[in-house]
Amino acid sequence: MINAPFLIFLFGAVLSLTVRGNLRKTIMLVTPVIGLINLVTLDQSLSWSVQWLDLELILFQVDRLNFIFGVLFHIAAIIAIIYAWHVNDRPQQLVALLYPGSALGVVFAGDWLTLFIFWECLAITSVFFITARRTPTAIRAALRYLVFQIVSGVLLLSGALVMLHETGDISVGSLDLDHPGAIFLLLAFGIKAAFPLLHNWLTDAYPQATVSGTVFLSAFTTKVAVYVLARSFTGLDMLVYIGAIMACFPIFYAVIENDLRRVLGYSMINQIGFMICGIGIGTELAVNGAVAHAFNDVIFKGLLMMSMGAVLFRTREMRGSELGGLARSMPKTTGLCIVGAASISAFPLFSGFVSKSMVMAALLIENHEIVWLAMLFASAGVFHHAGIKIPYFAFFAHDSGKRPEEAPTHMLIAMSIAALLCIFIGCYPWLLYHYLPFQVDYIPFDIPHVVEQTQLLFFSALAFIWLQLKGLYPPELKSTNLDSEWFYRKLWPGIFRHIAASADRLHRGFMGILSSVAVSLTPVARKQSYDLLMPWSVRQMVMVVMALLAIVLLLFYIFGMTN
Amino acid sequence: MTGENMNRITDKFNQLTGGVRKGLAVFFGLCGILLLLDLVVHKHGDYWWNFFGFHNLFGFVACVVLVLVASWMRKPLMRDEQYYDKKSESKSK
Repeated sequence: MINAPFLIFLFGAVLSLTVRGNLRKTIMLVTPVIGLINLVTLDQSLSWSVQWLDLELILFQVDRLNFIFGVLFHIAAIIAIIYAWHVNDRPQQLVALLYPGSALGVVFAGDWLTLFIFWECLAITSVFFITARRTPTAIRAALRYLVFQIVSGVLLLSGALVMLHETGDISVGSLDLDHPGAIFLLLAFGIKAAFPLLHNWLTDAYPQATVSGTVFLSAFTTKVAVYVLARSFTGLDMLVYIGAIMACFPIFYAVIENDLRRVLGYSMINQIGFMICGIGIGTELAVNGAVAHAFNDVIFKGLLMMSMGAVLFRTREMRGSELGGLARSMPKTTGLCIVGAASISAFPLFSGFVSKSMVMAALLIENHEIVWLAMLFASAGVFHHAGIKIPYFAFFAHDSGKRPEEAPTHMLIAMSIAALLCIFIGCYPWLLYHYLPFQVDYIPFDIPHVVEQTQLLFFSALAFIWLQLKGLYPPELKSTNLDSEWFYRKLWPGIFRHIAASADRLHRGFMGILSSVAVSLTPVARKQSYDLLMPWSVRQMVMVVMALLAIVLLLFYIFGMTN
Repeated sequence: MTGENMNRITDKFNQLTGGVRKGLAVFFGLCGILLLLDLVVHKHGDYWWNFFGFHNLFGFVACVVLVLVASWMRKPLMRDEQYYDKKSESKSK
């Protein structure tokens, strides 16, 4: 069964290892292209299952939902591999194929055990994009990241095993929370999808990855989680509210965050919030909206990550406080970044608009008016921090005096492909709509809606300008903002250190008492010639230990006999 | 007080370069047109927010609230850049 997408990536990865230089890079690029051609020409009734012990594992099966994610992951891999053309680091090159391959393995898996195996492959391959930075900070972040991913994997496996034990059926499909093991799966997916309080691995690790590594990471891991949630928990009411919280709280952090790639990390959680909300509503329109938004998000978030990566590549700097005025020397990157910014902000004729509005419309149809208002707030907020803040502080604002070269050609090509896709989907969404899981009869370019969205965005921008002129806008400051990571990076280690220090003190105190007793007894012993209390020679000590051992042996023998 | 604020804003505006000032003027004009468009566009549904200028007002107020709350959040949440690294250094010692 050669057409399974993950096999093509695995084969490409092995083949790419046998050669070097540009030939290896060409193989890396050709692999996802062949994979994409294979996928779109595939007979969609195909599936591939193997018998393992008494289980039937479905390694590959395709339907409308995973087909569109499959196409998306191929496109993302092509763009990211072009973007990473400058990378000559073998581990990174290897995972550049294995990581997207694992993601494809997850989306086409037909049972939870197969899915678990690819889920773990996804976790392990992705960590190399972070460790490749080779700084102590990055390696520590990578380990924290890996702990979260492995915990997610363990939860997934637990859920699958409970399900197998209770029902005997582990095929991937729709679940509700009463289903045995489902709660484990929801938690496993929640970690990967960066649910509130489980989200901090993302904003911790992604900004620490390499220039191209972050582009790869931003495309796959969280979207795989969106896929499995769309597959198994559509219509779970709780997800509507989780999605709304995810869309709202990160934007506050994004406004005050200094590291621009971490700002994008927060904005990624915000965008996933829209998708989770859509999945939670569960109607055809909402799920279509969630899937379409995942598709668009990979491309526009990738574009923004790529433009920030280009800045980092040229300036070795990612802090907003140290950047600014780069538009003079990097005009093309600036322009491409603005396309990404317009898309994520959902400007009419850019890709975010045609997908986010489906989720918003579905919220109103299902009478979630409060959540709708929260999402409207999040929409204004995303424009504020991702649409304005990112391009403004990197390319305009105060002049940092930096005059880096324009981004390398391969990066510009990758960014241009993403930008063209953003504009194409924004102007002609029907092609994307055609491949969505359900039939689409939604018209995004309806005049009141276009006007309202433009009003919202223009007046958000007006607020930004007003706050800037008034001097109320918080300046970019070199800082760390406390988030849920504080619990496991500061509080827990602090408690453990405290316990260890107390135990140490107790131990020292006890030993102190013992030794003072010994010291006080020595003269008495000497005077009274109590040999037992005098310091012992090694010979005496060995004799006593041997005697004790002999007694133990004897006792053991006697009691062993009686038993 | 408001007068002073207005003066400060006008001062800042006047300090901007000509190109930026022109760009902003066009932008303000567009905002005005968008606000007026609300008079002619027919709105869907029967919601309480279908009053004149809702989306304009919401966009503006949402962003001001967002920024003010976020600035306020800095007080309890902001630490120096090496906040977590310091800990691990002292641990390794």
